[in-house]
Amino acid sequence: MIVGGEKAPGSSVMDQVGDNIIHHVSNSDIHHPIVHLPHLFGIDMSVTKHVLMLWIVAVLVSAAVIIPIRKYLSRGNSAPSGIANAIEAVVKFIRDSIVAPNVGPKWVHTWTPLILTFFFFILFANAIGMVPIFDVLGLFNRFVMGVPASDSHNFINGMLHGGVTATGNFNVTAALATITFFSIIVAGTKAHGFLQHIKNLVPHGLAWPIYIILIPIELMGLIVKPFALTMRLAANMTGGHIALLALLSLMAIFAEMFHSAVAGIGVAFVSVPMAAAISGLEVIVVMVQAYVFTLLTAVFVGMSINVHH
Amino acid sequence: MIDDQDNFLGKSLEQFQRFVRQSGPAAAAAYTLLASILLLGGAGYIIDQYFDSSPSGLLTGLGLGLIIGFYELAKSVFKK
Repeated sequence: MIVGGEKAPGSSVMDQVGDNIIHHVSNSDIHHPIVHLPHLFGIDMSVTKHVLMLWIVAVLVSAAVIIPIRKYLSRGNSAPSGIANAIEAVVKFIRDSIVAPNVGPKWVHTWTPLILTFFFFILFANAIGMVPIFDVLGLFNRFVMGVPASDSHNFINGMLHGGVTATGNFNVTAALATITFFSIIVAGTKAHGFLQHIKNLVPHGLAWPIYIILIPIELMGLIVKPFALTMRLAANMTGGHIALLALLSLMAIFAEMFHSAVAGIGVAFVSVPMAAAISGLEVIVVMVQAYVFTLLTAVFVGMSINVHH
Repeated sequence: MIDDQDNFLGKSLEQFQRFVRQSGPAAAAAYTLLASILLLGGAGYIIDQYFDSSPSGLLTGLGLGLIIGFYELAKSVFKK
C-alpha cells in the first residue's frame, strides 16, 4: 500500500483505489522479484513475495509443530505440556472428528498425517496474512530511516510489493488441490486396486447406454473436486482482504470527493470500526478455511475408499 | 458446580464434533455444485471467445455444470 501510494500526476484517488487493492492482494511482479534466480527448464525460479511467504510458513510450521512434538517424543511417556498439549488437542480433534468418520478406522492412520499437514500449513499461511509485518517495516523504512518510496533498490521497498497471504494465490491453492487429487486416486488404489478404483467411479449393474452418460460425468466430477478446493480457499482469503481495503479506502475517496480532510476523518469513524470488525471476522475465517479444506480433503479421500452408489 | 461446567463444556464439544461429522458430505456436495458450474461455465466462455460462438459455449458449459453438480449432490443425498 505504501509503495502503491505513489501518485501519478493528474490521477484521482478513485483511479488509484482499485489498482492499490489489487496490488495489495496479488503476488509481486515476476519481473521485480525479491531474489533473482536463473531459469530452470524454461521456468523463472526467482523468489516472489508469495514464494517467500511459503518459505516463512514452512519455517514457522516446523518451529511451532515439529520441534515441540520431537521434544515431547524424546521425553518418553510423560503427559504433553505447553504447546505440545495444544497440538495434541488439535490432532485429536482432526483425527477423531474429520478423518476417522470419513476414511474409516482402517485407514485413519494412513491419511491423518497428510490432512494434519494441510491443516497446519493452511492455518499458518492464512494467519500470517493477517499480520501487517511488511507494512510496519515499510512505515519504519519510510519515516524513521528516511528511505524514499521511489528507491527501487532498497530491500524493504521491494518487500512491499504484493500481498502476504500465500493462500490467496490461486497457484498455491491449486498445488494443494493437486495433492488432494492424487491422494484421492492413491486412496482408492490402496483400498481396492487401481482397476477396481476406476470401476468404482460409476455404479455397477446399470444398462450400458447409461454408462455413456455417467462415465464422462464422473470423470468431470474428478476434476471438479480439486477445482472446488482451489477456488474456495483462494477466493475466501482474497475476498476478506479486498473488503478490508475497500472500507479503509472510503476515507481517501470521501476526502477527495468533498475536497475536505474533515469528510475523510468523518468517514473514518464508520469505516475504521467496520474494518476492525471485518478483521475480527477474518481471524475466524483463517481457522474456518483451514478446517474446511481439511474436511473436504477427508471427505473426497473417504469417498474413494468407502464407495457408495 | 465445576462438575456441571465440565459436563456442559464436554457435552457442547461432543455436539460440535457431531455437527462436524455430519456437515462434511453436505459441504462437499455444495462446493462441488458451485465449482462445477463455475469450471464448466468458464470453459464454455473461453470456447466462445476462441471460436466466436457466443453464447452457445457458455450455455452448454453452464448446462453441463448444472448436470454434474446436481449429480454429485444427488450422490451425497441418496448415499446408502
